[in-house]
Amino acid sequence: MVKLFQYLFCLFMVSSISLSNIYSKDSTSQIEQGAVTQKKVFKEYLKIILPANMFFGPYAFMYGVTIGGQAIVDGDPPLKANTKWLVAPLLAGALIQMKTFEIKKYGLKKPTDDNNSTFYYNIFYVGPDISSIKEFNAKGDDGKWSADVAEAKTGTDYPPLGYRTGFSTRSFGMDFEMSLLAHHTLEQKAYYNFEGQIYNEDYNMYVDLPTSMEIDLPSHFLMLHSMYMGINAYYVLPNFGVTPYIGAGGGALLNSIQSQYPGPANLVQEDGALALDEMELNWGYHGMVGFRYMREKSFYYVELRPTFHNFQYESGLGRLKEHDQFVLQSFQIQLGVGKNIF
Amino acid sequence: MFLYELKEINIKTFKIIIIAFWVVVPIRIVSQSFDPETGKAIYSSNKYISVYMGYGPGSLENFYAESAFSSPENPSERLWTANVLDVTTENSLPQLGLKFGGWKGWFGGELEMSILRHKTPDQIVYYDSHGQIFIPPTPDYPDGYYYTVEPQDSVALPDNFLNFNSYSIGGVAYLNIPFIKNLYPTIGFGLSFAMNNVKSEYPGPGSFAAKNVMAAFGYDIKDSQSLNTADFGWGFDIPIGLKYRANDNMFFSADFRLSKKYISFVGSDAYLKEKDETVLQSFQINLGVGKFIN
Repeated sequence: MVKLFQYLFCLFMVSSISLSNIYSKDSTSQIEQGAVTQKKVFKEYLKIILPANMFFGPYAFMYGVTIGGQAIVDGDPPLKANTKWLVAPLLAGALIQMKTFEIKKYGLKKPTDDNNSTFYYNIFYVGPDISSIKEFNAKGDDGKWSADVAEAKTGTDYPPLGYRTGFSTRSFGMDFEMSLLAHHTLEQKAYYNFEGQIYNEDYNMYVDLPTSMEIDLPSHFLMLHSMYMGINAYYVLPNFGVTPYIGAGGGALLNSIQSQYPGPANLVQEDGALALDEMELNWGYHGMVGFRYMREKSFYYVELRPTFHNFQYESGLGRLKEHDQFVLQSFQIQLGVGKNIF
Repeated sequence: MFLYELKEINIKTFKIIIIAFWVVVPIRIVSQSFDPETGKAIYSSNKYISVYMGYGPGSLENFYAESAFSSPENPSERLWTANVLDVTTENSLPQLGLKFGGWKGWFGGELEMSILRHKTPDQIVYYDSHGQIFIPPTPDYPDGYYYTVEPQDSVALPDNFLNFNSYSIGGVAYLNIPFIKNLYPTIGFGLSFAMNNVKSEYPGPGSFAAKNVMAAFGYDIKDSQSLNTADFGWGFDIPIGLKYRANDNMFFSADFRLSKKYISFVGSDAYLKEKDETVLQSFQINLGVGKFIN
């Protein structure tokens, strides 16, 4: 909990400072100190939406994970469980947006400047991706064994969905992003490299295993849900009908790892139970190249993103308890619409 | 705790940071800026968008493959390793690229997106290999069997054995040498980040090289899954070229380019699963046309 608080606090401070102060030189604040500028109103806007999103977002995400997990326990298929998971954070997001809209309309002052060199926006996007688990590594809690899988195939039931808010000048842009991601392992035969001895429950003793082994993984063996909260920074390139940009982003990941199986070392399905239900904080990063089709008060965009999301968690039971880690690597194609805040 | 997290950043992360820096610096050279006194945007001249097409020979340098499994006798060693010094490649389609860039005086920069497609033509490849391959259990060998590979061997690769599709984005910084009116010789250096797709109708190099051994134990390579991977990689380019400014709106370009792309992927299947690394080197002649943006 302390770790969660530290991460969120750091992210909140970085978001607030970077989004509100980074481009002070290009403002007209010296001329219009008394005026209600778009920049000033945007700062006020951030003060409202950042705490709201960063508190209610993770809360709704965790609630969704609990509902989805309960659906698995109740015997619902993974697709239905994922649907239930998605509803809670989406609903919370919609409520936050509705409230933000009201505050923006009635609570915030109307900017009096017509400075159109900076575009303040909200984005909603969908980001289908091609993904895989890379460098899966498991280590026994007893320190007697380790196993690794070079690559495992993953898929999605629902594409990643996200929200971004920020600004873009003619040469530079920055935004805060929150997104929901759900991936799962596909049905496959995984071949893994094993070292050491592992406890065998049937014989009540540690046994040697061959170094080369295979395991039949059912679909949704691992169900991975993440809430990403991070910052993006990008350079805007010259417009040629569409506006290209290039940048990078990074942030905190609230990861949930669920399975009906205790862990890769123990493939006995727990009927009517969620044998693995871990939540952890980690971090992820991505590059981005995008193209915006700008209109007067909005834009449509497509963005290509190589992303790297880290996972670390504990799984397994008793003497088969293990520490697992891997990188979920994906190539995301983000399609979205941005709308001027003012 | 934060320092601990920083320690977790691996070499791949640093590569991405360096590439991002290299992409941003050339763009910054030619990007718009604001006059602090007037608050107005200052636009540098000679900004352009261009497309190019190129063709040329290539090769896979230092192709290295290692088993995804460790040796049963010595777990710190891989079950088998193999390497090939040189494999010839050729364009399966011409390289295509889109560039956004500009120059100011002697210095220029470009953001470049490109597609490079190479394939291996039919050839005999000689490779160095060490270790053993694991044969899964058969009725004759219920515990499986470790077959020691020959230290030097060769394999005849069919045409199209490996297909490389590299989708890159990167930055090029270049020197723009004033020569005669409207003619600008250039020499530059670029770094790029790529998504590399490697395809084959076979499972991978290791499986293909071991197909005869495996066949003796009753396995047919045709039953295996074909290779189709997507991984991230990086590369660098050295373009030496010429720009001809035809008029205020257009220019034509020609360059000779040495390009190296560092590619890694997971190939083959079952107990022959392997980690492969190689450098796709190509020599290209690119012809392009560009339009100046006002």
